[in-house]
Amino acid sequence: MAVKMGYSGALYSQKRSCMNYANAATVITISDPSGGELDFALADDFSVECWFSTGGDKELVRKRTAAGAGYLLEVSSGKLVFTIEDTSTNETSITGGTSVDDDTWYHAVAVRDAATNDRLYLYLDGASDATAVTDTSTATLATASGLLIGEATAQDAYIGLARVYGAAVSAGEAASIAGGSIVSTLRRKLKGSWPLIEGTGSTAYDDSDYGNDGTITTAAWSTLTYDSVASPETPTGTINGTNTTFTLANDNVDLAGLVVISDSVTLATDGYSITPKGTLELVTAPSTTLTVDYRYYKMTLEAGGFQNWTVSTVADELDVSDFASGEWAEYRTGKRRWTASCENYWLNQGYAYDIDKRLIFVFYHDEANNKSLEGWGYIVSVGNTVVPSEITSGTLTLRGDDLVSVETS
Amino acid sequence: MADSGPIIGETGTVTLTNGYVSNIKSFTLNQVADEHDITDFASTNTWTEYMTGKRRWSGTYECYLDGTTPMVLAGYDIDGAAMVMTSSTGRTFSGNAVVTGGDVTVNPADPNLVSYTFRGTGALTVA
Repeated sequence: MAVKMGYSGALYSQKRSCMNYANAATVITISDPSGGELDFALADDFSVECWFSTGGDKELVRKRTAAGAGYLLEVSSGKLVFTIEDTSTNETSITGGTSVDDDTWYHAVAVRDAATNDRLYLYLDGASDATAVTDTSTATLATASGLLIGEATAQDAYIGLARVYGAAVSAGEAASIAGGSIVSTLRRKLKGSWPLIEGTGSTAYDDSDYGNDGTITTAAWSTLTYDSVASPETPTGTINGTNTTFTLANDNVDLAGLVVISDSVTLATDGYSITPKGTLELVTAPSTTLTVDYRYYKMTLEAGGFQNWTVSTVADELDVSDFASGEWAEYRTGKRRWTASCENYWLNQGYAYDIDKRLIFVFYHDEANNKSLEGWGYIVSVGNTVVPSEITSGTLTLRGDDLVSVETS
Repeated sequence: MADSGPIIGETGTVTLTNGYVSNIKSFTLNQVADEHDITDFASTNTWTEYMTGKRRWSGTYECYLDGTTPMVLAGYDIDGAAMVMTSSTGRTFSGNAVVTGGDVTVNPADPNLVSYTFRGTGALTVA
């Protein structure tokens, strides 16, 4: 009997907020902490993680004085570039091979592996984006400069999250965190984490143990955390007048902005159903053409610290007994609806800001094998419990908006 | 088969066409008959009179989720599917049922669990 234990589960949700850097003055500043947790010595491993979308060159994470000591992750000449420099002016850079200035969301991890391989690595969307470069440092990288998330220059750019780890993120770990997973061994090595989930205000909270909150100058919060397909997509599936099931190229599909055109006719919402995973079921099979214009959320991340979840699906039971039924009552099911509740140990402030907002939720019961329930839902309540002798905890209650689907891959 | 006394429920089974019935840990089955108070002026003593009306059946069952079998959700078959429950005595209870509820619970300290509620449609046959 292949029963799965609950620790194979997880809860993910679409990230709703990010910072827009269109205003030349917008920047997040984390003052240089006195404990030095954001500085790294000659032998220190560290990594910088960032979710971003940009239409041009943009500094993403900088802790470096001009061209002096420190580290900088940026998009330069359209490519990812990670530069470190020590206090003896030894500078090492690694440049990615992929153009990333196309206004779509990317996940970047820049790694300085000093202890084991003495190399710099660069990962884009969980895969290596450059050949490793030998680190030429001979001294510490420490600088008194604060850490900046997005430099104060105008660019059509968005940053969704920035983190600094006191560890060299491995290739496997880079793939995991690109997929949104929380890696517990990395979590314990966090030196700073600014998930930018607030969506309002002028403080970017640091949810690492260090609590070095950032000050946002000219805050410009945005909910443009999705990508749109470049042109209406022809989904996978046979168009032959009989097949009604098709699959989109991307998952975490938004209901908003969805346009389905079948045989040159724009379908009303009762002409199809779709799952967040991107499975499209049409009422009438297309004979000649099918295109879908849609948004999707690549930045759908594991929601931190959840210890359990329950999803309840209910179908209305309708008594359809009639004179032909005889002595036994007859039933059929009617409208279906779902709710969920989830408890977490980390006080994730983002959900408090996201109350009454519709998000995509992915409830894994077997994450390693991609088995989940996925649905669009509203956060309808957020409860926090803070007791001196107990772990701080929170409870979310969700109400489904449209379907929840069973996904097995 | 004679029911000779208390029976431990260790050999029960549930089948449900196209439903998720893997790793079943328990089931309950309830039958009710509508009760109608037919007390009238002819009911001359102090006691009320009743008759039964429509008969209905419903129940619940719980399963552990496994790594291979896709689960189903409430209302997956709006008109009902064939269901058979077998008790430890070997008795079978069969009929068509609609699934009206499905709760999935995932908790790190426990096996993944799904609990279903169902409502019979039409006759329940006991054999």
